[in-house]
Amino acid sequence: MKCVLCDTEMDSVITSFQSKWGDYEVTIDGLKAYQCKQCQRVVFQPEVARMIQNITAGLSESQPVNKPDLINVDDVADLLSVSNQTVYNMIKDGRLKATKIGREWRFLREHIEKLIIPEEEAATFSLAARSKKDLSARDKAIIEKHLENLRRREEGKGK
Amino acid sequence: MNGYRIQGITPEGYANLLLQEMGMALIPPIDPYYICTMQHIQIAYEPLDHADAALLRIGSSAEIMLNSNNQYRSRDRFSVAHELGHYYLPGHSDMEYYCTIKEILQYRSSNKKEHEANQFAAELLMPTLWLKNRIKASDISLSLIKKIAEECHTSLTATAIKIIKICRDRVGIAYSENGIIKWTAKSKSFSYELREGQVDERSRVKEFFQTGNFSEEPMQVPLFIWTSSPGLHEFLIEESISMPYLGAVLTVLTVPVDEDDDAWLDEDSW
Repeated sequence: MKCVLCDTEMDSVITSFQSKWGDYEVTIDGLKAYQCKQCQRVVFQPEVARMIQNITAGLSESQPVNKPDLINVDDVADLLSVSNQTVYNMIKDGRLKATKIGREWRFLREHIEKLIIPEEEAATFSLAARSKKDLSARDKAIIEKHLENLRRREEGKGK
Repeated sequence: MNGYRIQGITPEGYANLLLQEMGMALIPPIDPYYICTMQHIQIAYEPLDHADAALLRIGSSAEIMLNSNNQYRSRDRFSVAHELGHYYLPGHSDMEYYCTIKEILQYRSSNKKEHEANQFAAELLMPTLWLKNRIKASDISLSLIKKIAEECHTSLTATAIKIIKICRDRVGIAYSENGIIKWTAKSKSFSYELREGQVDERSRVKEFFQTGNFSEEPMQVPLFIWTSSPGLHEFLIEESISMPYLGAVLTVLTVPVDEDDDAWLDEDSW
């Protein structure tokens, strides 16, 4: 197998991967991978990458009660799809409640999640690249029609 | 995995993984519609008012919606690749994404997820390995960027940004609207700081915003009209192209190469 970036032969190696979960890090050991002899880039076969994704997806989809209660600026920026600077600006103008622990800001996950997902919409929509409220009524109707078709297609798969 | 990334795999890495998984050669033009077909992602066209492309997803069923009113039909390929980015990238598990053509075409977004989807799309349509070989023997110029954009069926802006990210030439780009430099980007070896704000009177770009017309021929201009450098006796080569559908001008700025100056080129850095 050759590296897709530098076209050099890759070695088969056993490696580990770290995934962040709030303030915690989860390490997955014993992963079969390929490492480029030249650029040291490590790649996984799609099935291994998918397995890693599934494990970390399991973490992020766990119930809020199981998640770390305190999150940092990076996590908030990820959740809100904004830059870290915007998070700092939001602290400054009072839109975000935050506590400084040492030199680092910490946030209550519950506060942030309430901010981005109004309870009545939580089951339906999550934060999008462009807010749904920016769309016209006609756009929303068209999209709802397509979502309904997708729902039917998905239900059809289960039968 | 909303908000959680697997460390070490970049959006570009995921695009390469997808191409490998699909058994597709890393040679443009790469067809994102083929990927959709193979992954059972439907493509739909609807006359939307406030979005140009969207990804809709419920469970394992997904659809990419393109705005049928969109006047930039030729840009659909990048839009489809961009939405595929939202589909594949971890942390992009939201049910719906609505993206505007400006977000997609400018390939620069302050929104992290939009930026990642653009990085994914650019790599999918312009694989780094292929692109490095393609530009290796050429000096970066507007005409080269145009040729590569045609070969990859990508926008000039997306192509220019991808090229300067990986090239070893000293090159910068500036994107201007209404006489204002909106954003700039530069290669690693371009050591000057490009400035934003009003376009300088001595640039041909100013002419475009004043008269609606200008020459695309390369022109030597003082370094300081595009950078924060005060150097009075240094110059840049300025080449610009207008993009009337965006009311914008893309400018490619290169540092003239002296023959004595080649020592900085380092093959090992590839």
